[in-house]
Amino acid sequence: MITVEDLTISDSRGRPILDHVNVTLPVGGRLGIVGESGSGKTTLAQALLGAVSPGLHHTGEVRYEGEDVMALRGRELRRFRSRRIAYLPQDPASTLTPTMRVRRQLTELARDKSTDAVRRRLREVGLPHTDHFARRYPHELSGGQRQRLALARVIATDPTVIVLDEPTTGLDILAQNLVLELVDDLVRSRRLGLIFITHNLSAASRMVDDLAVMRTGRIVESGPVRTVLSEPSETYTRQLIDAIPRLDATATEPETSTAVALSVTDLHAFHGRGKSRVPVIAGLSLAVHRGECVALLGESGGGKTTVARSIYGVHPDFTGDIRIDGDPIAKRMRDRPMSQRSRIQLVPQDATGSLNPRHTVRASIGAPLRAFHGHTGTELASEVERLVDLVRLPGDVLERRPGQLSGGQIQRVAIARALACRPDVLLCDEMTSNLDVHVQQEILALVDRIRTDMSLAILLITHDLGVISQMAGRTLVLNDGQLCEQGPTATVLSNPDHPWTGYLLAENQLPAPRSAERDPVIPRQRPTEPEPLMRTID
Amino acid sequence: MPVVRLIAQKFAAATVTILAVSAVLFMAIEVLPGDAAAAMLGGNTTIEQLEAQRAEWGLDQPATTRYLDWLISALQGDLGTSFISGEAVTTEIAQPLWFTTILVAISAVVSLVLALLFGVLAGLRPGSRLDRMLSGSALVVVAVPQFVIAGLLVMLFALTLGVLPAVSLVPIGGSPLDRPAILVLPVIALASFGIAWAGRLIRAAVADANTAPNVRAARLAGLPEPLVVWRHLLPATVPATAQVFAWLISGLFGSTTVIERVFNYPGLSEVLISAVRNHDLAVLEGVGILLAMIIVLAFLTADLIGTLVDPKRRVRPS
Amino acid sequence: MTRHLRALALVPGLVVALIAVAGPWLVSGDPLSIIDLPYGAPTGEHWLGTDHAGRDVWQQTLAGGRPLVVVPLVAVTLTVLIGTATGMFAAFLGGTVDAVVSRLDTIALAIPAILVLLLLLHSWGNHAGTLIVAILIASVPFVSRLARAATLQAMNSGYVEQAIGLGAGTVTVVRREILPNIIGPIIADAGTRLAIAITLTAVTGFLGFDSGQANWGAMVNQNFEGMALSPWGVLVPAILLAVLAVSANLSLDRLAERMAP
Repeated sequence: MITVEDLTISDSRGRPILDHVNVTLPVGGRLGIVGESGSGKTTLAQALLGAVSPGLHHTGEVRYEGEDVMALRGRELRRFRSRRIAYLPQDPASTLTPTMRVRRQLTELARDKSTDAVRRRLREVGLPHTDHFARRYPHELSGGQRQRLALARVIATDPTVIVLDEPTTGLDILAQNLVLELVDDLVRSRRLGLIFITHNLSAASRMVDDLAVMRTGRIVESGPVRTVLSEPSETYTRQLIDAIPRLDATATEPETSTAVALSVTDLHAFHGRGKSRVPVIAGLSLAVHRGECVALLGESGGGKTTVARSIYGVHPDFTGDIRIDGDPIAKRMRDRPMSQRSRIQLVPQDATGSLNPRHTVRASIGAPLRAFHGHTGTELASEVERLVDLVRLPGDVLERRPGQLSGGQIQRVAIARALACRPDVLLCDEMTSNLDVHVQQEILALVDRIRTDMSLAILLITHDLGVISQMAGRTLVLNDGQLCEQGPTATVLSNPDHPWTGYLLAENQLPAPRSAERDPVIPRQRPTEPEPLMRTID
Repeated sequence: MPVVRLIAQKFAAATVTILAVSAVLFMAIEVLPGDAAAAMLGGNTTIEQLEAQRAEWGLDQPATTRYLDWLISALQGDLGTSFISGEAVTTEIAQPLWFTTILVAISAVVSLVLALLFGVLAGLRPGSRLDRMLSGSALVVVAVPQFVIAGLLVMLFALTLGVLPAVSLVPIGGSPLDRPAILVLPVIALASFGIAWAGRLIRAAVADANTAPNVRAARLAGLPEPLVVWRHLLPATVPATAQVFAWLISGLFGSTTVIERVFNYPGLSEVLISAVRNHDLAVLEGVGILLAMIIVLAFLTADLIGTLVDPKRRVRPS
Repeated sequence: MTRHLRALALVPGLVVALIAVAGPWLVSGDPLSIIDLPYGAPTGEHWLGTDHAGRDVWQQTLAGGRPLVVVPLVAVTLTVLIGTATGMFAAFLGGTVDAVVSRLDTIALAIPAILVLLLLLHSWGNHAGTLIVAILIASVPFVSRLARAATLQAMNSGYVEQAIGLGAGTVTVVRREILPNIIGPIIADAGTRLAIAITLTAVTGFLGFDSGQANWGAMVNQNFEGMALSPWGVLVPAILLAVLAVSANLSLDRLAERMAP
């Protein structure tokens, strides 16, 4: 149905972004294209729609049922995009224009604009098919409903192929699974062709029949998904497979004889002011020992970041006792003496925002060295270089500014900077969620090594169960503002006590390749979503 | 929060601002050195005559009393009496205010339409030749003092080409709309700044909104470009554009003072300048508060438009 | 290519600025003395002819530019310093300070600048000080709001609180973290402030407030009616003003671009 024939896309200087790419999607087939950032997969995704960024040249063809899409212009190109092919980018919900009602979203692109058609489309994605619902605006829907609506919108044109471009990035586990399941259902019931482009190998392998692996603009390996995963012929593919954190990995258990580095007692934290001030954490206590890594698991918006920020001292609206090595510390960072500030560091979720855009990497890492340890001159320079090397960054990033670095590089600079303080406690808030699997693996290994070398106490906040089982000896589960479960990681993940934990686990599946035979359409049993008792932060 | 309550809140805030401005203006005008009475009556007057005149105008009262008196009258529509002409301030400034408003209104509409055109065309293709041309000219126009532009316009169109009148005198008892030709050059002079300035800001808003994921997705879904712009891109720029428009209106009222002088257009500038010269405090206070009100109202409107366009504000009782 | 054009564009501006600043030293005699019949044509002795009162246009051109360069520059520099300080501290300290500053800014913005200018001119006369105060009143609120918004954005991005956690004191935070990041938009805005300052300064002369000295703005006003007879009295100062303003704006724009990360 779609064949990419010898497609090469190069920039104005002749450097290839896509290099003689050949892929084929048979009618009704499912193809996954997996690659890390910089592999050119986004360019390929756009090329499938005939979209090439201005300034780039292409040779080769992208054929849809024999016709070269790249040669289409104007009205024909638009017809192709609206009638034949559908495209979903990262975070599908963001494609919804906030000023358009549900009904309009569904009828704008479609040919059939009748009320019946609208109802049909709503039902198809599991949304309430009432007129009342059709009159709502996107912001009046829940996150999950928005994802469904976005999907319904592009399907409304009755395309024959759907292209998904990084649909799971940036979403938490539950939202990811929602999107993937929905796509799966739709592709099945409508017999659509599917092209699934992502860096998430495990997600792709669940969804597709054939897999192609991309690296620096080339397809390095392709074939049926089961073959590629079980017997990869390329080293690179093998590396990608190995880099996926597995649920059965074991992390070292803590020695309870070591001292408690961080203790939090009866934490109650709040958000908002005046009438809209609500409790987000309602009585949480935890302890992290020296040399131990403890994971904090919970739903998106459930308050994990609030816990970290409260401990770090930038969210002062809380009550509770926080101690480092037994010494109590002030609630606000500003009120803490310098000696205390260096002992606890946070690697935040938004690493990009945490770096001053006008400072070079050298300046950003050097600042705490200067402030806390009084380094100057050559001593300072060599220490900065050592840290940069430690996080596996090349020396030439030193003189660059955040705007010139990739997301993964920025994350590593943030880690290096935190380590420069020689902290006793490290709070890691989703520090690898936006990284390529490859890079994530390196960073996790690094942090683990430092933990043992320096007896660092780590509180690891993440929603990735694979990461948890690899890194954390103990796991705490946060639900409804309180810990609903805690214990050794292996126990919690395999034999959860609390139903909420069970629900989280059920939603996260191991990478299991799809079977070659088509499964019959089985209505899936979903555990009922427990109603949150506390407001989650949006 | 229900919309009505939000609007009421904003109205209240605007009222407070106007009151505060009126107080500040009043006090500032009070502090003016120079004696209104002496200016009016001339040099050879006795102290008794001066004091009598001041008492007649109520200038012997303390400032706060005068302010409150003035404020109460103003709320009832009476802005006092002009020191110089003896007429009610409202009568004095009614016609000039009307004429100036005509000029500003036409200029504002022209500015907005063309600025939108500029902003959208340039913002959709930043860095293109069209964009660079438009933005470059805008930069030049914004920088040049308006009376210079006005002067050059007169030189070109009136004196050299002779197609438009050099002076914008209004027929007695009539209105500028009777002779629209006199409005053309002043409007061009005013609007040129408006288009350049507002256009640049709208361009920035459009370029920014163009990177939004929903706009990209609409294009990739095969929607024709005009629909993409109209339905998906422009709604996001409305709050910023409304703000720009409000700024524009307040800026235009300021600029007319100068432009009207260039063209001898009988608007507010005449009234204002002679009032300043003659220490006509009543007129000054009246004009000042009216202008301030117009400006605050413009901003309030922009704020409200921005709020209403945002569907998040239109909470429905579910 | 455009970049070189931009650099070239600054040259005329510098030339005009040079004329403006150095001109008064080249003047021979009193530029405002009547030497001939009004609106006389250019001669070998009087290069640009005479103006509406019979005074030498060229001499006035030499003498009338300095206030238009000096006053706006001083005024805008002060505006940037004061406005940045108030806006930054309002955002950083928050609470009552912020509320008070914001209120004052809103009120100041609602007052028509022209009115302020006229009132001050009439009270204090057409002196450099008057103009500087008028420009300050008209411009500081803008810069203050801009600085406040930029500071808030910097603080919300996360690197400011990180800096505190990484060992920086308040002064260091303001100096190293906040200032470098807000300077860019402020300099870009300064271009507009400068253009407005030049306009206000020139307008003063144009509206007929006599400063007792030659003034390009006044020249445009006074010689306007006689333009058909002799255009030089209007054309020359008008073009010089235009070039000066545009050039100042362009150079500030370039400076702002350089500062953007």
